This record gives sequence, C-alpha cells and structure tokens, in this order.
Amino acid sequence: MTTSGRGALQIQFQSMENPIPIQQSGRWVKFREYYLWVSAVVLILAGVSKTMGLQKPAAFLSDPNSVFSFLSNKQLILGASFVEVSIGTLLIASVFELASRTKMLFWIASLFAIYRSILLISKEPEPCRCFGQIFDLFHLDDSMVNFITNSAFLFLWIPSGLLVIADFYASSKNRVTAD
Amino acid sequence: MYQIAVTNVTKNRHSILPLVFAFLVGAFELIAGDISALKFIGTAERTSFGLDGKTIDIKFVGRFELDLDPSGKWLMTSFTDPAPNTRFRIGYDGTNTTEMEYFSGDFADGDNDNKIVSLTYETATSLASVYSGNEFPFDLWPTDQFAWLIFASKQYQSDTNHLGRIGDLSKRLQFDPMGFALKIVPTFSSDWPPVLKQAEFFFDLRDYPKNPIGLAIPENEMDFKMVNGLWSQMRSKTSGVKVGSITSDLVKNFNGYTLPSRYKLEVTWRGKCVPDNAVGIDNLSELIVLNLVDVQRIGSVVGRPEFIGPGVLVKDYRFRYVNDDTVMEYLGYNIDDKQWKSSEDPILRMRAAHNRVNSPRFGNTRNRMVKTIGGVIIVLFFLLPLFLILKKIKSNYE
Repeated sequence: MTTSGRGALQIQFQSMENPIPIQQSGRWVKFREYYLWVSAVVLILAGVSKTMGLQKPAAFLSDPNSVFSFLSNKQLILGASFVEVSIGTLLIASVFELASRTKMLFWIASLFAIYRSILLISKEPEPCRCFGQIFDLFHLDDSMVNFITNSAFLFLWIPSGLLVIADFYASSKNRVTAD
Repeated sequence: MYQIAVTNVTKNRHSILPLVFAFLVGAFELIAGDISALKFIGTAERTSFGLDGKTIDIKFVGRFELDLDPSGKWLMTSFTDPAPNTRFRIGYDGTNTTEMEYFSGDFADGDNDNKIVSLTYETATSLASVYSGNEFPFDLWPTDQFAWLIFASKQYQSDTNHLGRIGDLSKRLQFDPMGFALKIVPTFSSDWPPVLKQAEFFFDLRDYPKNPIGLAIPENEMDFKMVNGLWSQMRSKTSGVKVGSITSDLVKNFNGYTLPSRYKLEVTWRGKCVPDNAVGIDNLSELIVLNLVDVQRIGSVVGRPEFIGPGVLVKDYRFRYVNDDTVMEYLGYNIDDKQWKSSEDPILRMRAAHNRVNSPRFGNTRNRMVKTIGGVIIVLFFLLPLFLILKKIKSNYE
C-alpha cells in the first residue's frame, strides 16, 4: 500500500468492495502492528506469569472468587490465563486482519475493565494479580505493582478502544460513500 | 488407680500383687514429683524491630503471675508496664474463659494510657470478656500471651478444636489477623508441669476464613477497607513456611521442679501481615525473652477473676452470631450484683435474639447486588463475539 496519490485512491476502491475499516497510511499500519505486538506480549506475559503463580501454595487460590462464586480463584485465573495467551497468540499470528485483531484486544481489555469496575464499586481492595507473582522477583511494593498493572491495563484498553471507534466511524463513512 | 487396687485386694485376699502395684504407683508419683497446683512468677521483655531486623521500634518489660491447676484451670495476672493504670486478670474455670480488665478512671474515653494514676482495686472500673471453653488470652500484652503459651497452653493446644492453633476465630474476631494464621508445632515437657520447651511456628491458612466475614466486624467504611485489605494480604501469603520459633535453656530447680528458666520467642517479618515480597521479610521482627523467676506450690485455682469495684461491663462472646447478613460479635451487658451469668440465662438469650435482628453486616447487601449484576454483564460480554460470529454465519447462509 502506498501513502499518497493513486495508491490512496486504490485503497479507497478496495475498501468499497471489500471494506478495509479505516483509510490507513503505511506508517499508521506499522504503528498499529507494533501496538498489537506489544499488547500481545503483555497479554502472553500476564497469562504465563499468572499460571506460574499458581505453583505457590496460597490460601486465596482455593477460595471462591468474589465475583463468580461458583469458581475458585485458581479456576478463574487458569481460565483468564488461557484466554489471554490465546488472544495474545492470535494478535501475533496475523491470521485476522488488523481491525479484527484490534477488536479482539478491545474485547478482552473491556472484560478486564468490567471486572475491575465491579471490584472497585463493591469496595473490595483486592490487590490486582494480573501478572501473578512476577513482581515478587523485583521486590516491588503494592503501590508500584498497582501502578504497573493499571498502566498495562490502560495501555491495552484506551488505544484499542479508540481504534475500534475509529474503525467503526471509517467503515460507516465508507458504507455511506459506497451507497 | 488406688481405688482399683483396693477393690482388687478385697476380692482376692490371697494375692499381694495389687498391694505391690499400689505401692509402685505411689512410689512413682513420689519420684516423679508432686502434682500440686503451681504459681509461676516471671518477667518477659519484648523487643520489636524494623524491617531491617536491627532498628528497635518497641521495647518493654512485662511481669506476670500464672496459677495452674492439674485439672487444667488457670488464672493469670498481668503487671505489664505499658498501661500502668490498667491490670488484666484472666482465667479458665473448666467451663468458660473470663478476662477482666481493671481500670482506674473512666475507660469510656478510650485514653487511659495517658492517665497515669495509681490503680486501686477498690476504685477500679472493670470490663470483662467471657468466652465458652478454654481460650487464648486475646487482650493481654504479647509478653503475657507468651507466658500463657509457655505455662498454660498444653490443654488448649491438645484440644482437637484448636489443633495447635493460636487463637480461635470462631470465638473472637480481631482486626489483627496474624495470631490465627500461625500453626504451632510444640514440644511440651512430659511430666508435671506441662511446660512448652520448644516450638516452631508455620504459616498455615487452611482454616483461615475464606472471606473477611470471619475476620472482624467492620462498623464503618474505614474499618471495612482496612479489614478487607488485611484479609486479602493475608490470603495471598504462602502457607507452610516457617516464621518463628520458641527455644528454652538455663535449666534450674524451682521448689523441686526442674524447669528451663529462660524462654525465647523469635518471629520473622514473614510471620507478620506484610507482603511476602517485602525487602527484609526474613529479618527478625519480634523477640521476647521470658525469665522464670519463681515457682510456688499453691492450694487450688479458681480460674475466674474476682469482681472488684462498683460494676462490670461485660462483652459476652458466648452469644457471638455471624451469617451472611448479620454480625453480632458479642452481647454487651452490665453486672451489678457480682454474679456471673450463665449462657442459658433467659434474659440474656432474649436480649441476644433481639440484638441479632438489629445487627446488619456493613456493606454486604449492596456488594452482593453489584457483584451479581457485574458477573452477568461479564458473562454476556464474554459471549458477545460468539453471538456476532453466529449472526454473521446466519446472514451469510441466508
């Protein structure tokens, strides 16, 4: 794909027939690819470190989860790890087009957002274990761990959300143009 | 044993075997030592360190007297320094554990430690806590609790309900959850008195409450946050790790009883409510050195502190009631006639039933609703891609 002149026109034609959600420059696509790559690494890291954290015998693992009381914390962590690693792999594998991968990322980040909101509203100050026990290796205190995990979460959620909105806006514009 | 031997003698006049047996039993008891009630007198010095294991945060000396009866009854009096106008006396009478806190002045203002006045029992105001069964001395200073652990905890720890645990959550809820998370592996002396000679402490959360309900009674939002925070921190700690030990040395003879005269308790920061990843987690956090000064023979032990002063305000934990929606940690009442009340007292039972209805748990109903609605939203959102894929397949098919 080219960035200007006839190349840009070609993209517009392509998007009408087989809509590409947003009119994208090469640099923009590259940036998006990088963003998805980094997000994938964050997700896989979170999934793997969560699973590794399950090796340590901690009492809370066998407790029922505070939101899904029919699951133990261990089961929920295992499930979440599986989903994170799967989505991370799909983001890297490039099987789907950019827009679909961005939607996947936004979907999983939104799940995290809802879960965190519930804990926040119900005033349950559980420390986030999104990255399992990995921060124990660096002797980080709780506030630092919270800062890192919150930053990682916002990194996954906000840009992917904006991209999904942009894709939606562009595809609806394309549809209007096509009509 | 004597009874059996004598009966056998009357039944079998020709045999001298039962007499020999009775003689041997008596001789053995003479050799082994007299099992009379004892009073242990001693001091204990507590030092708390910072996370570096060197900086001293708190240091004080406690003094105690502990009476112990072979039947298991005990009575302890604390003369520990940090609260000079307060005295504790606590005992187990075979049925209940009763703790008395004697104050000089008005305890209702919650600032007694700053009023240093001489404590006379005649003018003391008393606050009592009553528990069913043999119980851990919850409100005593750590130095006194250590003395109890050494000299009076044999029966408590061998009780199948406690199984080597220090403190029982089902009896009393505390803001500091540490005591209930430690499992003790003790070695007691085999003969009378049953003194704890050495022990190891391990972190053990198997019986720890699965949610903060069993941990404390949050009465307001600040308490609620604090309790939740402590609870989640505790629940994330690693079980099975050694966090402290008790050792003893300097064996001496006290009135015919050969016992260690010095006992040492050492606990690392890993045994405290701090995260496992904290720097200095294996440094020494607490050191208590107990010196046994004297052991005296006494007549018998009543195991219940006496009434002193004009009246007693009682916190009766025998009426504790907790479920998902209701929390009543204790039933409070006054005793003006110097008569302890039975847990079967009809007036107290009626009052407990009434108070129970009026003790809703803080924040619980709202939380449950938020979590249920939130859980449903998560499940729906989780399944959203599946719906979209199915919808797309359907539209392609059509």
